[in-house]
Amino acid sequence: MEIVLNVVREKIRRKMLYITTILGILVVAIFSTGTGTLTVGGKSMNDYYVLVPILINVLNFLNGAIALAISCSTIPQEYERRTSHLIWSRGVSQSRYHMSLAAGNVLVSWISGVILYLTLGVFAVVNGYSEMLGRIAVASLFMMLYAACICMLTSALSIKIPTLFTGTIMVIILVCGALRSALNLMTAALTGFGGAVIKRAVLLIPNLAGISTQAGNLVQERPVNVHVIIMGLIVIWIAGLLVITLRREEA
Amino acid sequence: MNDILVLKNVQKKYKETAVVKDLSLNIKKGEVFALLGANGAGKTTTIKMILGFAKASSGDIEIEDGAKIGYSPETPYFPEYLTAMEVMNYYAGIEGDKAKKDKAYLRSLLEVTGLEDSKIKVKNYSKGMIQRLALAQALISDPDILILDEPTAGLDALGRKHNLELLKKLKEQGKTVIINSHILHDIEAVCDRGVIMRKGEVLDTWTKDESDESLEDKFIRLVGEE
Repeated sequence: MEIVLNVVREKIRRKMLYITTILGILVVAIFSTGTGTLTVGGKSMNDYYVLVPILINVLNFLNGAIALAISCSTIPQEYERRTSHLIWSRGVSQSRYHMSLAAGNVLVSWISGVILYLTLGVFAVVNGYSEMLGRIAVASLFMMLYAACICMLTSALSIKIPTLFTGTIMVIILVCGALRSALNLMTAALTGFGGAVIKRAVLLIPNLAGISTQAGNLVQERPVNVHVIIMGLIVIWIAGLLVITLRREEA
Repeated sequence: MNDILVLKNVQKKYKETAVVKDLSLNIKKGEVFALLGANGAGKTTTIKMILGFAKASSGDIEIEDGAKIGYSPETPYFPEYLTAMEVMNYYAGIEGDKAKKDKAYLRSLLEVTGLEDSKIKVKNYSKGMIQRLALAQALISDPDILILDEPTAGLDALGRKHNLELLKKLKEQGKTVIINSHILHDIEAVCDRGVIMRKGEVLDTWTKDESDESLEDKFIRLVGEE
């Protein structure tokens, strides 16, 4: 627990969470005060019932980026600074150490996400839509799942792969996951062994952005796709196993 | 005196290159033991193997049952946004022993290494202060064996003198200390015994006051030979 809390303390003292708060206030303020003009199909999006799902997607995207940024560097940084030696010399195993750092990343991303959602909640109340608070609160659970998926996967990759490559691979996973339907169509025409491999690889890419979309669906009282939620939980489970299993030879 | 740490024919290979070759050591309880050698001699790898950071390719490392180890690394890094007390509290928390989280106890360890419980963050510490903090955190578990990698590196004359005095006190308390250092004058001042290594092998042993030849002369004579 000490290691988990220290990750959070580091991000707080490095003013990471202040940046999140400012970002949240800016995004929500710009969208909801009309200083930014958002139109969909020529229709102004001033109505909060329409605006909130869009804002949730924007905030989830922002929080996903924050989760990715913090998780890319936490574990490699510990090895670079060799703080790992002072932890291991106290009998902490690599598995426990990696899992604590990954859990710290998840906790930071949740705090950051809650700050963003709180901003949204405050603006909803100020604009007279306090009845939306309950749904925004439930939608924040999807944000937590989405952020946890990104943090755990990124943390697992960062144990073995340099920071830059981890970030790049995660961006590719996120983009390809979001574009999976399009990729399925594009790869449908592929034939032969190579084609079969590519088709299966596309099927294996998790659509993490889909979790974020479910939050918007919930707020708009549309059906929530439970399969996407289960997929998110499976991703966390697999990434958790990787975090526990993957080891660095020495540091 | 009983042996608290024994290395038997320990070898460490990275791919096909052996960095520690057939190393055997018997370190006695309560002695201050030196690992000496130029860069690349295999001293740090030996320490890593004793601490369990690196696995020996062959041979055995036996540590007395229940013996606790404290470790101060060569280039210590502490989260720069913490104060010395927060650093101590953090590592005490990881040890998992609630008694060790006692503020008065941690403050006494800071004081014994010449630091104080202040609001100054680690980022404002000098290299010497960080070295002292490294020593203080190594003492948290009240270890039986203290492994110090270059404990006087980067310290000014006063800091070095202070740390050497502290090492003498720890020896008086019955602690076993293993030191890896390039500063031979310091080794002569505090150590009882040691080994001189080159390219992973023990060239010779050294015992305090065993001969008229100074450690420095012996070191240059042995390590300087190719």
